[in-house]
Amino acid sequence: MNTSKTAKSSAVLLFLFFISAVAYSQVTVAPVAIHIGETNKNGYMLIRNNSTNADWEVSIEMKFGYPQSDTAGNTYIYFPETEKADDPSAVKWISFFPRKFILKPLEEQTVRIAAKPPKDLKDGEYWGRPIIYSHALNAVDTTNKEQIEVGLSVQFQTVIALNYRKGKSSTGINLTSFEGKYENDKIILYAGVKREGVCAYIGSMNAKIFNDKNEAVKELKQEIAIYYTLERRIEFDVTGLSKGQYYAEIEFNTNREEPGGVIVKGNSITKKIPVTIN
Amino acid sequence: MRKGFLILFIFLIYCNLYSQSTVLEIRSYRNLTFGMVIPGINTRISETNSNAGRFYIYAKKVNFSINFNLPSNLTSGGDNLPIKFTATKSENSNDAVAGTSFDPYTGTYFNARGSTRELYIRLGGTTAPSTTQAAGSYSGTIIMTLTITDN
Repeated sequence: MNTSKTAKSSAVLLFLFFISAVAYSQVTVAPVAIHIGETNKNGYMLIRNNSTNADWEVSIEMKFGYPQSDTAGNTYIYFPETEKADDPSAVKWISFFPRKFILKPLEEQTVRIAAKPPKDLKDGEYWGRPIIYSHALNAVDTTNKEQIEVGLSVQFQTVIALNYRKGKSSTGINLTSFEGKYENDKIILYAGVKREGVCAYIGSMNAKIFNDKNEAVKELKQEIAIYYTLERRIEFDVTGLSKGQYYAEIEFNTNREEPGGVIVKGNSITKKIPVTIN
Repeated sequence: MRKGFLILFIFLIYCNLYSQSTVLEIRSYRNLTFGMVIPGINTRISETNSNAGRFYIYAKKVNFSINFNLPSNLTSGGDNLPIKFTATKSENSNDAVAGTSFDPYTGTYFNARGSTRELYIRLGGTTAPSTTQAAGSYSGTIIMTLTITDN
């Protein structure tokens, strides 16, 4: 620390202005799931800057990744550090036009997505995760040099999904585990699923708790994407339910509406197990 | 004639992308502001404070996770100013109703698959200047990542 800075610090007050010149800065991405294939090798994505006073720089890259779940059942996107030869990656032959651009205030850009797969590409589904990076070009106002000021800039990253299908599409799942227990006014369910076929299993999971009269007393619906395996933890607050025998049911299906794409239909699985509230 | 078809084609793409598709929009309404900070004394801005950072997310038919890459120090040349962040999420635009707390260092999830939903993320923080904290222009970058998790 130099002498001049030390002297300034003894002035007691530090003014920390986190100033943004980017009021109401915004970036919009649509759609956030892109489905293309051998009959339609082109896709489109719209990126918009609704900021009224700031230019935004946008760049796009794609990485190979897919949803996985942690031990608590939370879903996240896993990006392998290196791609294996048998990974169904579309990263090398998907292009974005333009890949990097500047959006002026209230401007938007249609990005064309083009697939140029190798001729010997095997039938199947190939995946990638486009990442849209965006930041304001004039994020920090440093015009007031007399004060001690601090600029905290913001960058956004939007990670979306892309898949490319070739040939016959098929998907399915096996329920590898389903257990339930009652603990501290909660019924906690654990479900494990493994995917079969060549496409991701994109669908829904429904979990219900039934009483001894077969009436559903608790219900939860979640959307799921199973690329290899899924471990899901489901928690129901059952405070107020009387003690006794209950039944937990889990159902997986592909009856899901998917805007802008076609869901590959797979098998449905339902299983019911007893759970006691004591 | 050909130009007219091209314009029509682009217009139809635009309409299709916005009317039927999934949409994710992020806005930075307000950055975290600390005002005056006294060396040796921590300054905390809560999420309900009007100086807290505020982000707005508009989501249409999509489930996603929200993660932050946050600086542990703001820097000014070779000088560091430690900073820690806190966060809440809420569907209420009123700053006084900050909503549910979550750890911005581990992130959170949001479900808007069945509908169109709006979410407000509020970012608070604490700076911890030392008693000999050098004056200077401290800066840092927050990276906010939205990741689609159900597709």
